[in-house]
Amino acid sequence: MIRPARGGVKGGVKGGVKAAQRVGPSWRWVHIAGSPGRSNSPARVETDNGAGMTQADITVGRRQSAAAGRRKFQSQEMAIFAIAAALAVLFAFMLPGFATINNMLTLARSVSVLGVLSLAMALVVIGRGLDLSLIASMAAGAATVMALQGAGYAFPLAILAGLAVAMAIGLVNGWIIAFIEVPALFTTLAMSLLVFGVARFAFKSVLVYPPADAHAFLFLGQGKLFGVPMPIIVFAVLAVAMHLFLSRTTPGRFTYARGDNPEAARLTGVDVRRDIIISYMLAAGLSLLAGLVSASATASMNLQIITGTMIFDVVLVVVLGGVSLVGGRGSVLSVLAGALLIGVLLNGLTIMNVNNQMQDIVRGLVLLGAIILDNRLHPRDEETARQGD
Amino acid sequence: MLKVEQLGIRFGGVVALDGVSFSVAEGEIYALIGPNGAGKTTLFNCVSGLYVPTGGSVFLDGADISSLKPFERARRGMTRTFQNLQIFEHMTVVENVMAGARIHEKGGILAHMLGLRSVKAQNAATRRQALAHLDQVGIADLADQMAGAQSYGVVKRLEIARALATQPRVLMLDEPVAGCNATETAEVDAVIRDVARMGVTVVLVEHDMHMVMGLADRVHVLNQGRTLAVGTPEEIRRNAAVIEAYLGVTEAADA
Repeated sequence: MIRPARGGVKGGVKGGVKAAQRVGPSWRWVHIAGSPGRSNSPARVETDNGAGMTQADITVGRRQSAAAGRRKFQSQEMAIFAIAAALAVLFAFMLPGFATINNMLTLARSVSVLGVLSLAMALVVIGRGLDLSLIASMAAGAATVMALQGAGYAFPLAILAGLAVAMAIGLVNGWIIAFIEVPALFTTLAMSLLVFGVARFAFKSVLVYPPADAHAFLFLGQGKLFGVPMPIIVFAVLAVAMHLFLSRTTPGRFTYARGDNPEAARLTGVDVRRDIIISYMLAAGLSLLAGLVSASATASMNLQIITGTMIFDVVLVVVLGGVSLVGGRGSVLSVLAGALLIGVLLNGLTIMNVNNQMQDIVRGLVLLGAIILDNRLHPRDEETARQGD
Repeated sequence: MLKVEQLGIRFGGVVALDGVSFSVAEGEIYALIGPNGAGKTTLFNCVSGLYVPTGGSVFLDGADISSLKPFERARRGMTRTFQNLQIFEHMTVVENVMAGARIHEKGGILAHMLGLRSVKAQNAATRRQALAHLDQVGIADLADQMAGAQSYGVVKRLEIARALATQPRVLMLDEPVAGCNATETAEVDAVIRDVARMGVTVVLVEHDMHMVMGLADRVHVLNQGRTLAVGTPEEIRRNAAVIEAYLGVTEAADA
């Protein structure tokens, strides 16, 4: 069949300029044998416009293959839950001391901090962002709280100050990403280093301790409520809250919309830039809570963790559970699944007396595998890969 | 309803738009046509707020909206579609449309999180309304399928349905039938007429001359960033300058 093709110059500003200089009509006809005249005809030539748009047909083709992948792995988190369960059963038979109440509590407690951080990361990633400075805001925020308590300030006041520090980091991150449109990866990576330096300067040492009489603070990480360790309770409460936020509220749904297609979100009335900033601030606020629990449990905060491997675990949990790095996908269930699998894996490896290097190798391999899987299942659509305009 | 005055924009040294003015009445279908690079999409982007024009003003319902951002214009009743489809792929078809309606929803975050009865009622109403919009564009039967898995023609209409859900007073369609076959074109044509009958002002860029001439109340011809002619399809067809610059040669090529 015969269909018109416009231009002949590929999109982009350059194309627009060239086309603008052309006098008169610029139609030509392309003969496409046997084309059904529908979307997936690969021969359609789509050009005209100076906005750098891509070929609609290619997009639709990719979209369809992505959709097919989605159907096949509709519940990645369920698959991860199953793997975690299988691994747990295996460990229970293999490893003495794994399947005990005590060890289960240890396992849950150990993933609680990671879990809270992963909730924060999920919030940002679903909105097509990434926050590598979560550990920085966590450590700097918690250190602020402890230092102020040490200086005699009341606990609530100290917490507010720590929250202000963390949220300020999130605000700057979000502003740079939303308005200057620097990729989140670089922004938050640089922010992490900046915070590390400033924090070491401000606290004079890499180790910050709470005062011994900070009972309320120490309860957060060491206390129990109805026999359940507080870290687990904090994680559970935040997970439920985040789930309700993401799945039921308008800002929550807009987070998915923004991550799925920022342009479309903007046109349906979403203030994309403002929401980006808010999401980074919320994530930083959550990371402070993770930091409080962690610092309280060990009665210290080592600022060195900012440059450590913890952020890899956070990315691992999120991606493994099915929060795609492309954005717009995943849920709190994903975080729970990812955290559970990592918890079981690390706990088992520790009982097996596998050393740190080997654990790092295992985590690194699993992370690589998870990212490859994510990339296969959710190929990034170049057309909508921009976060700003 | 929509008034554009002396709009101009330059990219570096290139004047992409030069003093373009027009106004569109309520419920009118206004088509922008012109050869490649004439500035149609640029004009669209300026009017919808994606580009900041270097000169001129845009008025919606008498109010100057020149300095408003795209999402603010959407909330005021101006929305658009893109020629390269912009949908939420990971949502179902009906969720896409519901997303368009959410800017009009009420209730605090806590009320939503707790799932209060009023919120549930509102969600149900939003869904009903979204289904009605889907029905209007003829794809209600696909409501609960994934949007990313739909065919080109369906996605085209889905975009229009989502735009309608924002309750626009001005709907801007960028090449609504590009890549559609004859059947799909006829379907989209019917949808646009229907929308205009509801009193929505429709501005569209389209290359399908047959469709434009049959559909538009008035046609605005751009050439090299300037207005070449404005008139009814009949007037445009007879306009010597237009024939010379655009239509005539196309028809010659067609023959």
